[in-house]
Formats: sequence, C-alpha cells, structure tokens
Amino acid sequence: MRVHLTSPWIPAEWVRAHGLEARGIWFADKFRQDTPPLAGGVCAFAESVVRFAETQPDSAVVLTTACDQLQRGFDAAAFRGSARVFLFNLPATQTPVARQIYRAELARLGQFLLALGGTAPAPEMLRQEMAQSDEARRRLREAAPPAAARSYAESVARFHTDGNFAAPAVCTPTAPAALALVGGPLGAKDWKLFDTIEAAGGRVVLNATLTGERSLCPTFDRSAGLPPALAAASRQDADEPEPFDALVAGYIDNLVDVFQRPNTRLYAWLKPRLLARQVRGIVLWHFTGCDLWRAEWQTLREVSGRPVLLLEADEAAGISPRDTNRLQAFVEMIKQPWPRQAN
Amino acid sequence: MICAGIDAGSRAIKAVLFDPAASRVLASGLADQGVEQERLATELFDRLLRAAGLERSQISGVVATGYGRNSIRFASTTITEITCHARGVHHLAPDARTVIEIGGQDSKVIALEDGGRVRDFAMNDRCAAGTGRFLEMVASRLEMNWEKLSALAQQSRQPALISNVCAVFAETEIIGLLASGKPLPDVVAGVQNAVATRVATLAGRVAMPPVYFTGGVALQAGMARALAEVLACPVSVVPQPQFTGALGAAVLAAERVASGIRAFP
Amino acid sequence: MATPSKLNLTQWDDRYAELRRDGLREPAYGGPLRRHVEQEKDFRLEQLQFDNSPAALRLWNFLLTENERLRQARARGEKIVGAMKDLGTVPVMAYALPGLRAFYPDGAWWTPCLMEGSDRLLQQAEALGIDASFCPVRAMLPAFQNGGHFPLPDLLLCSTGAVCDDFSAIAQRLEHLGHAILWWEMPRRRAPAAGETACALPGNLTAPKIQVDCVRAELQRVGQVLGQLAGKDLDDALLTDGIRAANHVRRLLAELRQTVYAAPRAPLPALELLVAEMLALHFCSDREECIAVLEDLLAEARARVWQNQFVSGAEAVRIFWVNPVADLRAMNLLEDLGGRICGSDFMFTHALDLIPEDLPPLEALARSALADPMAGPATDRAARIVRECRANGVEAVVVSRIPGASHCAREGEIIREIVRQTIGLPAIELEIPPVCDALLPTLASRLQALVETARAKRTK
Repeated sequence: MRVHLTSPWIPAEWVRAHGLEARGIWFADKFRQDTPPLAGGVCAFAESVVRFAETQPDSAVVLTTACDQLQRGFDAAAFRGSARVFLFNLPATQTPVARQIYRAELARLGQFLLALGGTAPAPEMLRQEMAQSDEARRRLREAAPPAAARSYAESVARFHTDGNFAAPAVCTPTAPAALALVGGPLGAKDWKLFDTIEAAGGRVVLNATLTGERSLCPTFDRSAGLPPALAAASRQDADEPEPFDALVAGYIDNLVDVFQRPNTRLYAWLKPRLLARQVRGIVLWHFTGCDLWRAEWQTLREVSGRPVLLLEADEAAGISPRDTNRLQAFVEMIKQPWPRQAN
Repeated sequence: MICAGIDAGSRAIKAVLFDPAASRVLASGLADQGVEQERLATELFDRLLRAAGLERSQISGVVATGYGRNSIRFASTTITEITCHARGVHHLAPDARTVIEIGGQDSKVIALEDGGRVRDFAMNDRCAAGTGRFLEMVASRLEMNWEKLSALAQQSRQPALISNVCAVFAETEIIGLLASGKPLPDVVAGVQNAVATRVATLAGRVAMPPVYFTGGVALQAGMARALAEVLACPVSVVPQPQFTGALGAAVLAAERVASGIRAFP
Repeated sequence: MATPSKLNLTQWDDRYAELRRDGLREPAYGGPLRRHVEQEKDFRLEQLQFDNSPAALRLWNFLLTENERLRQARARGEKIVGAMKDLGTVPVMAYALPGLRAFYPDGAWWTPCLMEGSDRLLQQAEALGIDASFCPVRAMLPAFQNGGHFPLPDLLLCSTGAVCDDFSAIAQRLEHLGHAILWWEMPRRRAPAAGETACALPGNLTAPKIQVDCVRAELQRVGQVLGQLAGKDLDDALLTDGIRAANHVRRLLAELRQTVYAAPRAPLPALELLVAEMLALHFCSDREECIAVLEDLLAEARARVWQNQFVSGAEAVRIFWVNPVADLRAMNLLEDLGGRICGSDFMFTHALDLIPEDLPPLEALARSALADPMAGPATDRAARIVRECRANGVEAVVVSRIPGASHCAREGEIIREIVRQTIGLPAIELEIPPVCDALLPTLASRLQALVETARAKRTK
C-alpha cells in the first residue's frame, strides 16, 4: 500500500516503519498530469491532490492543515467519498501544546496506517528508518550549495519518492545573477523554471521551496526528548531514548515553513543562506490562491533587502509566457553590477 | 556608429534610430501591430532608414524589446521592456527615480538607482484595469476616440468615484453613473483616476520621486495629473513617451556595441 | 409605537426630530444618524435603509461609536485587548477582568463599506503588501499603521492553526509590521476516533478530549497574559462570572433571533439583525450597554409581533443566510426583492451558543471555542444549517462569498449540496464585495431568481 504524503513534515520514516510505502505526492506518476478546471479561489495544487485521491483507490493520501486549501481539500475529498484520505493536524505554533498535538497526530496517523494493513512499528525498525533518512538529508543538505539547481531538485525529488537519490551534479558558477527560489511545492512540471532562469542568465543557488532544501530540515538528535542531564549522559553511554520521541522532536523542532505562527523560523533559516550564497534576488513562487505565500512578498523584500519577484502558477501545468517575461526582466535587473554591499 | 531599438508592443511596433556620438535620435516611427510581426518591424525599420538617409550596413546594433521581441529575428539581441524603458527614461531624464509606464495591455512601475539601474519593478499584466486597454474599452463604450476622451477629462469639475477594481464591473458602474446623470467629463476623469489608482498601488511598493510617466497612455491629457494626485508627488511626462522603450533599446544597443559585444547577426 | 418601516437617512432626520419632540431619551453616544456621515465620513449610511424604531437608532449609534468608546476607555486608563480570529472566546475572558476592554480589529473590515472607499484602507493595505486577493479584513492593516480608526491595543491575541489562510496571512503581516502578537493554537476539530474519550461541545458537536485539553491549555496561557495586563489573576470565580455575563448576552440574542425568525412576518429587518448578532462577539466594547441595546431590540420585536406589525410582506420568502456580507447594502437588497432572513450563520455560531455553566469555566470555554464553525469541516456547518432551516421553515439558502476569503472557495459547494440532498432547498452562492453598487443588477437578478424559485415551490 502506497501512502502519498503532501507535506515533508509528515515523517515518511513513520510510514515506512509501519511496513508501508511512503511517497511524496509531488513526484507521483499521475499527479498534476492534467489541468483541472478550478472554481474561483481554489488552489490548483490542492485540487490536484483531491483529484489524485479520487483516482487512486489503491493508495492513501495524507493531507495536512498547513493551509486552508488543503484542509478544505480534505473536506471535499471526504465529501466526494475518497476513503483513504487522512488529515494530519500540523500545529502552527511552537508551544508545548503544539508538540502535544503533533505527537498525538502521529499516533493517530499510526492507527490509520494500521487500518491500511500496516504493522505496528518496532522501535528498532523506526530507528533504522530514521537513521537512513537522517543521513540522506544530511548528505543532501551538504550538497546544496555547489549543486546545479535542476539536478539538485531531481535528487531531492528522488529522496521524497523512495528515499534513494543520486548525488546532484555540481555546477561551476558562472552566472552572476544568483537567485533564491522560495515558496510552495515545486513539482517536476515546474522545473522548467530553472531552465528559464538559466536561459536568462541567472542561477538558482537556493531552492527554498517546500520540496527543495527546506524539506530537508528535519534532523534527529539521538538524545532528543530527554531532560538535558540525561541527554548528555545518553550520548556517552549510547542509551537511546524511545525513537518516537526523537521523531517528534526532530520534526516539530526543525520544520521551517510559512504557515508557522510566528513564521520567524522561516526567516531565521533564510537570512544566513541568502547572505552566504550571495543571493541577489528572490523569486517567490506560489500557486494562485495561496494566501500564505503571497502575503510574504513584502515582508520578504523588507527582511532580505533584496528584490523579490512574485510568480504565481495559474494552473497545474507550469509557468506562462507572461511569467517568462517577468523572469527575464528580473534576471536582467539583478545581473546589473551590484551597487552596494549586500546585507 | 548608429544603433536601433525596436519595441514590439501589444498595440504598435515602435522603432528608433540613435546616434550615440551625438546622443541624438535620428528617426523614429511606429506601425500598427499585427500577426506578421517581423515583416511589420522590417518595413518600419527600412522606412526609418530611408527617412534618415541610411543603409542597413550602417547600423551597428539592433535591440528588440516588448512582448513580441522574440519574433524580431534581425535584432542582435532582445532585452525586456522593463530594462529598456528604464534606460530610455534615464537617457531623457537622468534624475528619474521612478518610471511609470502604462501601455496597451499592462502597466509597470520601475524603481531606478543612480545610473539608471533598475532597482525593483512591479507589473500589472493580468488585469485590464490600470492599463490603456481599460481606457480603450471606455472610449469604445462611449463611442468616441482616444483624443476626444482625453479632451473630455479636461472639462471635469468633480471626477466620479469608480469603486471597482475589475474593468468588467467598472464598465457596468460607468454606465450606471451616466444613467444617473453624472456629467460625462466627470465620468471620464473618474476613469482616469481609477487607472491611476490601480497603478499607484503598484507604485506604492517600489516608487519614490522624481517620477516620470511614459508609454502610450502618457499621451492622454489628464493622466499625469491623475497619477500625481494619487501619488501625492509631481509626475512628469517624458517627451514622446510612446518611443521610450525603443529609445532605451537603441541606447542599450549602443552600449553593447561600445562594450565590444557583437551586434548585427 | 410607530408603524414599522424602513427609512433612508433623510427620512431618519425627520424621524429623529419627531422622536426628540416626543421625549426620546438616549445614552451619551446617542444622536442623529446623519452625524456619522458628517463626522466619520460613513457615507454608506446614505445608501442604506434602517428600521425606524428608537431601538434601532440606539443599535446603530452603539455600533458606529465604538472607536470613540475605545478611545475614551483608553483615556480613562483602561487596557485595550485586540482579539483576533477566534470570534467570541477571548473577549469573554477579557471582560471578566476589571479594567480591560476587548474588541476585534477584524471588524475594520466594514470600514471600506461604511466609508465607501473614501478611507482608502484597501488601497493602503495593498501598498503594505496585502492586495485584493485577500479578504476585506486586510483593511485592519493600515488601520493599525495610521491609528486613525481604533486605538492601538495594549495586547494583541490571535488564534491560529485551524483558521482561514488569508486572515492568518494578514495577521502575520501585521506582526512583521511591528505589532507583537500572542498566537494561540486552535486545533482542527474532528470527530472522536474509536477509543477516544468524546466531549460534547455546544451546537450538537463532539470532539476528542485531547483536543479540548489542548484548547484549555492554550486558553490558560491566554488567561495568564490577560491577568498580567489587568494586574489581577483571572481565577475561576472571575471567569465564571464572565461566562455568566456572556451567556446573558447570548440568551438575549437567542431570544431575539427566535422572536424574529419564528414570526409569521419579519418584525425587524435583516440589517439590524446582522448588526445585533455581531454584538455577541465582543459586546461592541461595552458589555453592559450591549445588554441594554439587545433588550431594547427584543422588546421592540416582541411588541411588533404582539401587535401584528411587521416590516416584511406576507409573501416574503424565508431565507437562510450563510456568511456575513462585506457590503451591508446586500441585506436591504434581499428584502427589497421579497426575501427575509429566517436563519443565519455568520461564521461565529459558537458565539451564539451558551457556554456551559456546569463545567469548570476554562473547560467550558475550551469546548465553546472548539465549537467554532470555522475550526471544523464544512459538513458540520451544513448540518447545523439544515437543522435551523428545518426549525425555522426556511425556503431557500444564500451562501455569500467574501471576496478573497480562502474558506469560501470550497465550503459553498459542500453546504449547498448537503442542503439540496437533505432538505431539497434551492441554494445560491454569490460574492459581495465591500462596495457592491456596480454589482447590484447582477446580485438583484440572482436573489430575485432565488425568491421566484422558492415561491414557485410553494404552489407545487
């Protein structure tokens, strides 16, 4: 049984530890293959998730409350009778209550996975899955700066698809127009964005979309979940805490996304990377109807001190000639000699 | 060294021949846009050459801009209209810090730094409100031409308030205003204010004075005043605003040639 | 008692003079309605029609003087709490403490309507980075920045989690603009799973205990912060009193709604009912006066029913209205076309239900908060709508979309489908912007078609 995840904040390790196949929905074979007709205000991504759930009776889809679009997409899917859909309540705050909610939701998801035919996860199995994915994420994080944008996106996509990936191709930076790409879920259909940017003389050095580098944030501290004294002791004598605690902490303490309130963690993650990679311009990419990202446009400009180009995907199929024109103008702009020290 | 700029816009193709040594426009012209863009652009280009007494071989470089730029195959290179309008206005008004360009199908606000570099820009290219298209719709609905629309706006005593941001619904609102007895000049002035307001919301994100207004809509009497009111700062119209894009393209062509970048294919 | 009717503003000038001659006694915030046009530039009042009763006059003056009331409270040294999004829970807590006033800055969403755009708040919001693809609540952003409407709160609280995206985004932008917010988590309400302890919530809903416990913990955190602001702990005794007082308001509203909706013809117009219902949220910044206003309205409604005097005709079609309207004029329009409101869900039905008084107060408030219709699925909302339609003999349903509101994209389809499947009522969806003048012909056509459809069903 394949379980499609619509968010990198749902631990694929948890699904695999239940003996089921976990896949990021963004790179699923039949996802976003056609362009669904959209009612006014409906996000194309969310609608594609709903339609996918309807057409994949042998799979399950896990949606999250990260946005209203997906939340209400779940309602629509449930209303239309899609049986194997689960809505994971992803807390927006970073309080003890939020941690409690996340923990409880993982447990509840576990019940859903058992009902799908999964098996109760043995702690050792969970530890192994966590160790493997942790190592994979570490390698991918380290590979990010010198990697060619499209190749890197492909590697991350492979990781979210089945946990395996080839090392991304390294590029020798030549283009002076270093860009960051920030925003929602960028699927394979959208990768021509990289090609368009490069054709215009730019280069994406930071893929901070939901399915890019940001999706690699979860990391496991083997001593997570223990009081500090015990945590220190545990590293020395290799006593490992319950892996479930570490799983919860690894995700809830490290996820970086726009829906968090406050979303200061997003900017704390972005700023040093923008500086370190000498980013000169930011492309903010989102699906039409995505209020959460669209509202960050001005804040992103103010916090980063860099120009921000807002691009929206009208439909499931990708970027339009109009957006290509904007990208070219944007790259032209940021290719100009840098007048002052970037902050 | 003579260079050329071709602006293949949505409504018209504009072209400029530029002598960088004298910093002078030798010839400029426009032609209605059509399906065969390259043919139309070529005819226009050749017409300008004849008017200036020049041959093609005397042209060192050609830059094409505008939405149809990629169809102009005889151009040395293409550059977006953002960069070209910015360069063109900077050439005419080096003190410019904001360029507002309202064309047939879109409007742009471009923030400039010292030296005419583009610092930031915002575009409305999705919606007719805030573009020349909206004014054309109104002119057509009122069964008058562009010039008459312009003249009427000057007669307004109290511009009407058009509340809708959507051009389709605004058209309905305009008819309602006229039916309720609102004087025609006030309605037309209200339409200009509505366009200015739409553009001002773009400008609010990037603009600072001095502000220069360019594009075909800048030729509408009253539009600069409307923009100045909503922006609460003076707005100057550049000379021959319909040619700014082509002029900027020609200036950029000259800069490229001077930098040793290969020009004519 | 004057014959009930609806008056425009000019007619109300005369009516006011008449009432004064007859010895009308008004609270300090009273006066002619026209002064709000002249002083506050609430130009929209010139397009509206109002009920002609002194009770309605008091209601409108109460609503339109709220900002002034808040400023006066600040001047007296009271602390102002800005509650956002939860719509009905935090103010119950705030008003339980002495020296605190709570209001919803979200309420600024009606300012562009009332001022007919002359406030330019929506344009200013766009300049602040929040454009027309967001709901009219974005008007509160520039209101915070320029301070020209409500006084800046001493404390800002905002619920998050299971809330609509555009509001969440607007509030986050507000925080980035320098207005510190205390965020508290609202989980996405769901039915208890097998093996989970179920808790009954107001409004015939249930939720798992774990969710109630989470909300209770969050409200405890909110209560602590409110207590710090007031310089006094918000203990159970205070909270119990606060709940009791809030329930007094809710009972009055429930009676008012029942009196109006159950009557053979409408004793009070839809517009006044909409405004009255809004008082449930935060008592329009004066809990005691709110009670007096509602008592007046209720007395007027009862008197009219008793004396068989109504504002709607006998043929008026009974309509259930879903979601509040950004342009108040839409309520007049419905009645002009032969409809009357006999049921409503303005997105805060949990603020109309009584808060349980047989539970520890924080537990009771948590259950009440979790009953928020926007925190759960649209199917829950639809179920309540169906119940009320049945109870009130509703003949048609209008789902009003708020431009830019993320929840409106999908909920209408579900609500209409459930209404159609379970009770076979005709239902339409229509979008109403803050100033709907240009759309009036379109809106009128659709509402009229709905009324005609409902009337045709009567004769079958």
